[in-house]
Amino acid sequence: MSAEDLGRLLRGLAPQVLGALLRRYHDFDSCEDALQEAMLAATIQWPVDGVPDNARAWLVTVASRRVIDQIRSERARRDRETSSASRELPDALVAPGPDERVPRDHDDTLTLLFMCCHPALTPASQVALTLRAVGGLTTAEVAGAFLVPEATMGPRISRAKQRIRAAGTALSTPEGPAYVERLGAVLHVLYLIFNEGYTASSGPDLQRPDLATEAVRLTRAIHRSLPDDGEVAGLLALMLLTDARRAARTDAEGGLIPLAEQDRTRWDSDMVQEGARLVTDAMLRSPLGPYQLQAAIASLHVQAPRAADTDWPQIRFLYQVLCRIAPSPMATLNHAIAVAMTDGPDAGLAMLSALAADDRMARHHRLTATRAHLLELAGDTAAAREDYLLASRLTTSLPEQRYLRTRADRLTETDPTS
Amino acid sequence: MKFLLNAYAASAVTVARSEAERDAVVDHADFVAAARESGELIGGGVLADSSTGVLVRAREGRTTVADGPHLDSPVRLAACYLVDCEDRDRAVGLAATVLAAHYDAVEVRPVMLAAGMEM
Repeated sequence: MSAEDLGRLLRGLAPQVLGALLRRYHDFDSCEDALQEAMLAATIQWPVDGVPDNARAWLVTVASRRVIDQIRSERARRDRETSSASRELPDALVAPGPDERVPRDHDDTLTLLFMCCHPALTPASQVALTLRAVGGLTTAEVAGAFLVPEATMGPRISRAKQRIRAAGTALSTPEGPAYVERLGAVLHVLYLIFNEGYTASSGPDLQRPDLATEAVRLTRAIHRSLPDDGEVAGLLALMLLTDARRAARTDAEGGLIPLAEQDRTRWDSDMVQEGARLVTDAMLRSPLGPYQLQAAIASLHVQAPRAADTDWPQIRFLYQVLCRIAPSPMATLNHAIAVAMTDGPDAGLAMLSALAADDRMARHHRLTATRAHLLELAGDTAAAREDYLLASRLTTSLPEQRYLRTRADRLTETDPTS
Repeated sequence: MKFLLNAYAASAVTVARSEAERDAVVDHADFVAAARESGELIGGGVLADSSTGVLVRAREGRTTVADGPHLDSPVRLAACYLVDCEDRDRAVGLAATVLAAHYDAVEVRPVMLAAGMEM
């Protein structure tokens, strides 16, 4: 087994082992330390002795011993301090025997994800803790992924752990409506991780961990645990159908290429097929949800052989449903684009003016950029140019700003009145 | 998202107002402790008096150094902090805890990202 294969195997097992340890011993920090030591032991022993038949149980046993040693020495220290007689170890401190019933492997990954997405945490802390505990990234790697120093990320992760500890019932999986809500939080965190990676993947920082790939890996793990959940499948499909376009969406200089102008031969056809299959299957078998709808829309976009072949009436319909079941300004914005593509730019622009009344959107560069695009389609070059320039001032992304200025300049060149 | 919090103080404050107010201009200890503990503070600090700054310029291949301050303004940059936080609302909340906010202004400026969304 190559070092790379071993690394991949261990990274897949890590959250399951950590979940199993936490179920028994509760203390996040000692469980994490013990896991690190067990993984280190595995990287030394397995290449020599071979991978044990039940690699996960091996790691749990080795790590459990380590946690128990730590608790024992901690207790001995306390006993020395208090001069009290030594006590019996409770059952919880005994390492599990090989015949002990263990739940299905992936359930532990899921339990750990549920814990990391505890409602006591902010989304940014949920993201950081998920990458650290479930993704198995080091604090330095998580910090690198978000381009902040380790000295900033370290306290963020520590505080997240403290909050979870303070909240008590960390590892109990919620039931009923709370379960649905928590699963929603987990999917949202994975979506945030994916987006962070997706927007960053063209950046100059090649050392950053690939968060988009990491998000896909974790979402796959939940999909294996919950194969019948349509929204989990929908999110996985959405990620695959979006990531499939990665190679085509920036040019050699890192400039953004809009969907309609991308070289479709550079899209990853395996990812497109897998994503399309996942979402079609999910929509047939389970109740409709926002991730499935967004995946279905992404699927229609990538299955058109040319931009001109895009099935806009169908996309328009799906956005209409999305706006009904999960209303958001972004959904309305995209709906307006689809309306413009089916009924003409004026119909789309009318929807945008309603959206501009929304405070959250009025000064949003996406709204202004979309209006610029629709004005350009409508032939109102001067107004389109103004809006491209306004959007370029509102965005906080350098490549977006470059793109929007280029669009504005293009209109200056062709504008006969200037 | 990263934001720069620029705390401005009226230049008159340091000479004209009470001792307590003068301290408040430079005492951001509570803000720094809280933002560091929450894992949001990247760096920054209180700046020395603007008269101690110099202006560096590059013109036609030559670098020149001149005495500051840059602008003859009634307000001066007194402190700046780089934070990484959830969103603009949170950045505004952090800015409000920078004490100078009580009688001057803290400017909240988003830092541009090197990455962008498909347009």
